[in-house]
Amino acid sequence: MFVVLHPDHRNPLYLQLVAAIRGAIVRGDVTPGERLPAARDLAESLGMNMHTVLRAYRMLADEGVIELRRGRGAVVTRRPEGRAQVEAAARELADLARAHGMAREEVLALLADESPGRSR
Amino acid sequence: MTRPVRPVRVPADGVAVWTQLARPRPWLPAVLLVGAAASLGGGLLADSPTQVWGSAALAVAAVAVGGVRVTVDARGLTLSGLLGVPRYRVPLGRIAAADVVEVAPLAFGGWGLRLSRRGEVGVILRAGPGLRVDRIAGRPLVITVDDAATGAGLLRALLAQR
Repeated sequence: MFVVLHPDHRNPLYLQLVAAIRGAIVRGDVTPGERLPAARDLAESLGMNMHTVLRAYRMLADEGVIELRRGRGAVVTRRPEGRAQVEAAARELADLARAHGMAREEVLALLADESPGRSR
Repeated sequence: MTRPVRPVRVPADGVAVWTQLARPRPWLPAVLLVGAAASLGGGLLADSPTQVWGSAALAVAAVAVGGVRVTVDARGLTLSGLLGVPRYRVPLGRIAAADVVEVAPLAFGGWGLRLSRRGEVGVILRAGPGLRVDRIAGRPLVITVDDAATGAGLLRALLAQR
């Protein structure tokens, strides 16, 4: 599971964390039945408040992607499907574009080219 | 033999963590547990307290090799047992290089906590790719873990950022 957070990003940190963890589960870096790192450990790694991590975990639990068990921490229940998968892919595309210095408009133009009637 | 490292970029004001559970082949804890059970039976029959305690130690080892969490962050490389203990950290300031290597358990003399003939300390849970960290002083550390390419990439990015 690989997480990069951008403090200046318009997204709040806990939402960035939710997207990163969801992405890791979609890609299979973390598999169903596996435990996520303890919230306290992840918070220390990222230099953030433990409650921010717990907030992200709770949101993933509400989605049904993980289960929060008392004393056992956060356990992955299933790979997200449908919309969540698209969101994870979008996040990955945004990260990749940012890493290569592409402007948001360029990426949007690429997506616009992927119109439904496009000939293959 | 080294393998490719995934290039990772961390924005100057960003934070990053890579954390992966290094899991053994399922038979490794199972073999230890069966061994512990057999040894316990023998110890009870022979009325040998030493062997009974030895069996308990073997059972604990079986649980301990249930997995090791490998984490790379701004502090360096951290290995921790599934219950958070034991915990071992190589601080970023003590790391000279990070690579992905192909691990053959026999070169380490088997599985578990091992010393290779080349003087590397190994946490060997399976064959295949592993993360190798060279220290500025002291023995290199090798741990078999999935997606070691990203772990090594992040370590390199963090080292370049210093």
